[in-house]
Amino acid sequence: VDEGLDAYHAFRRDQTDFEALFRTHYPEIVRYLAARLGSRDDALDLASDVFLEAWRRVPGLQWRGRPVLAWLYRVAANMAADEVRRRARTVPPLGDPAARGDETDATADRLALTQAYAALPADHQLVVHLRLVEGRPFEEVAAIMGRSVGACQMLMLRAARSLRTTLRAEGVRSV
Amino acid sequence: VSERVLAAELDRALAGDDVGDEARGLADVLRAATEPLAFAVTDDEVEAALARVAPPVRRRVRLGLRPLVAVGVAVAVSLAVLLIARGPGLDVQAKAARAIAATYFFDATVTPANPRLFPATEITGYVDGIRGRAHVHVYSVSSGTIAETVLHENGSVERWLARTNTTLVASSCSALPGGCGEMFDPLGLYARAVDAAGVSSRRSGGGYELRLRVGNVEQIVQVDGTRFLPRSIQWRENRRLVASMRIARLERQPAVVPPDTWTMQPHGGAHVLQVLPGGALVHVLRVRPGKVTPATRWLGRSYRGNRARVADVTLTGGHATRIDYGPIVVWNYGRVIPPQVLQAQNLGVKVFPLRSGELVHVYFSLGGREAAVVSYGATNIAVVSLRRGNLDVVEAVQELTRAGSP
Repeated sequence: VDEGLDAYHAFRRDQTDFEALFRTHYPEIVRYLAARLGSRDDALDLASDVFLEAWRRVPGLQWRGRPVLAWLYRVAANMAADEVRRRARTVPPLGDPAARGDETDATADRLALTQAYAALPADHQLVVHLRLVEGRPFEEVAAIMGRSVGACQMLMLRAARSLRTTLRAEGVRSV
Repeated sequence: VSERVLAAELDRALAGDDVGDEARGLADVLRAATEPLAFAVTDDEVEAALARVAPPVRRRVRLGLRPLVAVGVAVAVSLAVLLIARGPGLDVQAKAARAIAATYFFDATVTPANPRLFPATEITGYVDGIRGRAHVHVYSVSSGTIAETVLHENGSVERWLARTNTTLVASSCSALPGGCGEMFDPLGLYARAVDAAGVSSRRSGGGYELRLRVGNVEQIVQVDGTRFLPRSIQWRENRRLVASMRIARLERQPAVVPPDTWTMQPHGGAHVLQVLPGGALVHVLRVRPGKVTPATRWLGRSYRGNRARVADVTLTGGHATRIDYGPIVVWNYGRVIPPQVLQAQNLGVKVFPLRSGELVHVYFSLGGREAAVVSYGATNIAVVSLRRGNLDVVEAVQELTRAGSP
């Protein structure tokens, strides 16, 4: 009961104190978007848009047993997907050889890794981001994603395998 | 190794434990992929971004909001008017009424006919077309959240105003100052709409136009020709256009929505006041020793070592019985809510059912007080804890009995 009430109170606090919500979660939303967009600067801008949406919508959210952060990540994922689609129509993808120029092997490996990570399904990316980049325990990851701890661990396993398969196909030797 | 075992092993590998080759290899891949993403976002970057996003929020206190709230909320609730106005007669009207007879989430923009009256406003929330409930948030593009209003099934209303961080509680909207008057009284409005049969319809473009008249207010509603749901509403008073409402989203909700859909969200530190129909605020006028009656609900002659001390409390517009058990206080009251109970309601709420089926609202306040409130028809019972941060009230409310019970 106490845990449920704590989560509920945290949800309500996040709803009513926008500035605290912003300061607490803006950095991690930037990091999440940087992986999706491949650019830290673009992520800074798009994260601001995520919070503009939050400013309008969060006060009206209904308690469904999940933290406001879960909603922020969902909005960030949707906005990132829109942005990636928009770019696909206008900008050559990073993997385009014409856009790469000369590269050392290490740079090529790095680029392949970045692309492989960006190409992961959204839920795979999110679980890896929350657990590894943000260092959240799986219990919190599960609460944000609305899944069980076991299900999140399985997602992480699939994400790792998917990355390895892609990188091997790309000829990256360090995996 | 099963998949689940390997998944758990991978987690241990990421934590640095010694595990098998497969899990270690996969952990290395994940570390390599995420290592460049663990960068810092500096405080300066956070503050700069916040300054770009937040100025509208901070500006809100400088706006004159009262007309905006009054008109904006009233127009928002004109949607509720549509939902509950089901006069007999025209097929279009009947179809529109059937289509909307459910709970909907809506998002609408209200634009004044006279731009100087109030800025364009966004209204979003839930409307229950069957039971006449509504829960709306009013925003201004330039100033952020302005007000939140909850219209309950019994016609009572709560309104929070951002500018003063004050929550007003009233038995009907007509009691609220500068408010929406009769527009917010669902039963009265329903009766008027049905009795007057003042709803007419005609074809308009690909859909229909419905006209609803209540007193000197008329709503002209454009209804979708396929789904028979409203797309826009004009609000006219004395034949003059006051505001137009464009409905951007109208999403039907499941048959059962969470109970807190109809609950005012917490507003930390809000000053909570009850307004009587005549506009007077509720105060304690007199306290004198009292007695319980067989119908009084209490925790017995003593509770947790504290003997019951009964008081008859005279309030503005009503009476209440207060039973003190040291840090626990039980109130029996009717429509007028004792100020002590109201002041425990300014932070959050949790809802749970009693074994007997009644719903308990457990409220939390910024000062640490808690109150569990349960309604038994015309009588309401509140258990208030004067101690901080424990859940005494949750236990106590389940131990209430009638004083006349054996």
